[in-house]
Amino acid sequence: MSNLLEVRDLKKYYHLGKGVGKEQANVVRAVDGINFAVKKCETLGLVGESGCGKSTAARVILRLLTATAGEILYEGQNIELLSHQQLLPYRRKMQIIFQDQAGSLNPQLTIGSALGEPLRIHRLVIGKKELKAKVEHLLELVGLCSEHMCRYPHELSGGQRQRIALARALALNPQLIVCDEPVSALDVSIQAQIINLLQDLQHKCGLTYIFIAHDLRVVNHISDRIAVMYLGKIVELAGKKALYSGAKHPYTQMLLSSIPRLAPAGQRQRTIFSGELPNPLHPPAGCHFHIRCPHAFVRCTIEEPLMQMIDSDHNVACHLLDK
Amino acid sequence: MLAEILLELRNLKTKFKTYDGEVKAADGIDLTVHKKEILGIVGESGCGKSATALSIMRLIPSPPGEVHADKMELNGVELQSLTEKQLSKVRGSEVSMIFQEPSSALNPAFTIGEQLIEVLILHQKLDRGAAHRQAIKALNLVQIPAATQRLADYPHQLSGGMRQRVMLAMACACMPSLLIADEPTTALDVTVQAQILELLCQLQSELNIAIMLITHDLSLVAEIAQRVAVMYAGVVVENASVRNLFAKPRHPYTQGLLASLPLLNAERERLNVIPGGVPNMLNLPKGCRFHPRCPHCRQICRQQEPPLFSQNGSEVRCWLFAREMNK
Repeated sequence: MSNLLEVRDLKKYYHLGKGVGKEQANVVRAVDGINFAVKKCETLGLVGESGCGKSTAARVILRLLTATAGEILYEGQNIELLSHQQLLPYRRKMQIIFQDQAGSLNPQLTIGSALGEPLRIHRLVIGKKELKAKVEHLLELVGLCSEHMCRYPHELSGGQRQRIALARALALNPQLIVCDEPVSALDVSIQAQIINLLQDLQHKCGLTYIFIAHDLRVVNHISDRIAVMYLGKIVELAGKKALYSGAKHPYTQMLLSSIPRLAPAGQRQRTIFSGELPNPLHPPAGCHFHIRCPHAFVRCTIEEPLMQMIDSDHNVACHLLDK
Repeated sequence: MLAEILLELRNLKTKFKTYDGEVKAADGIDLTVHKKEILGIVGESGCGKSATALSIMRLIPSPPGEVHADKMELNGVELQSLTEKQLSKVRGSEVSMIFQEPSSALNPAFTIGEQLIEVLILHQKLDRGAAHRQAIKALNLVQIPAATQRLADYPHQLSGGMRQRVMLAMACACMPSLLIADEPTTALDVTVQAQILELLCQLQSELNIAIMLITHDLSLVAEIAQRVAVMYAGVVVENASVRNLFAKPRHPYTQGLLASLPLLNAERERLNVIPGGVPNMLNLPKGCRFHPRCPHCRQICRQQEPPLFSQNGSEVRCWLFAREMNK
């Protein structure tokens, strides 16, 4: 299958001001040279702890933020170079839904007008009748009905609002939807409803997802391939089966072992890793993970590991592989 | 083998008067916490788990809140009859509580040392020097490295996980017999969550405290608790040991919740869904509160609210078990 999206050496740096009492201006390397490709109709999961740069990466890919360096190839076209006008057709193909559904809907617009707005802006419908029919169709697609058209966001529950956000993303018939923690704020039973809906829509509309979450269980459930990020870099990228059963990077192993399982206490052994995400302003030298890594050796403190392919669908950046 | 009862709660009702009517956040809750056990309380948002915890701490403001229970005894002391002065003795030294958002529970204008020492001076009547030494001990207990230096830090200088550890240190500083932890790890990353859970287990075994762990995540309960109470729309619908609950969930809601969790080994192609949403607390369905979402709903479920049926220490509030279990 061909690649829908390819990201090459993407970087996003934030330059912080010098400020009072600071010696030099600081740079936060939120995304520091990531490479991956997303095939058509697949779901790529992006996991990592908060502050690892997963949301920044998503926003840069959609050009909601400008990249510091790197290429974003959408169907072979580098969209990083396009002007605002040239970008418009691509905006239609790439949509995003956010974690905070309440914050991403305008409280002053009814659901009907919120859903109609992208259609009007991109001139996809002619006349009020067609607009109404299209909005009704969208609501139906996400499991709501036409009576929700005249409601306001505050009248809906969190799960319903996330459905509206999804309907709005679908309004322009996109190919790619970036889901930025779409279920993190929802209750378990509602979370399952939204995940199932996302999967149904993927089959029905031929969608490609980049699915961002901190919960490895959810990502693992919905994704075909998973990229694990740590301090702005991808440390492991693999198919979900390979990642679950044969994680090679110590950080992935740590994430997997940290997840609470549905096995009552005493039935399994787990290893608790100490330490927390270091300050991204001053990431450790060499491999960023070495201060928390149980297997770190001298080379890890000096040299940064490069991404290596260990299987057709399994890439890892760790010095342990050469040992 | 049943340990001594630490907290006994019978028919707790917590109501809030609102402009739209009366909301019964907790509507007849029966809970028992034994000494040195970890009890998990699980439920979706709005099911009344936090309201229950705040009622035990007597932290529900009145008005608009109103708390009434037939029995609310901690170590044999009826909490409802205590005066404000007696209460402040119980809070901190008998029961203490930690919250979801450690950054909003700590005062940003004081160092964590000042805040810890204040607790110790107030509750244990220590002098400043002794309180200072005790504060360092408390920080060591929750495994904060370089405790002496950390005392001079302000909350914003610490990470989320460290702040939650400080909260735990404050809560355990006076050796309470019950610690109420209200979603203590929800705001934290998984790796840090695992550390905090481990710490909770250690505190429980080292200090012999009982923990009431309130969470929406069933798997956290599976990790560390001994018993679980599942709550739905203001009532406890199932109450069992962790082993029994996960091996054989009885209530359709518990079954639904368990089946709707994504599993890590990707065995589940599709998640089970509990249809519909949590009912509006102002307008609860008649009969069993879960009946509109229940796959096994029968005539009686629509008309009459089920009592708690019990058998061998497991309790379930569902008509399906009317025959095999005792009222």
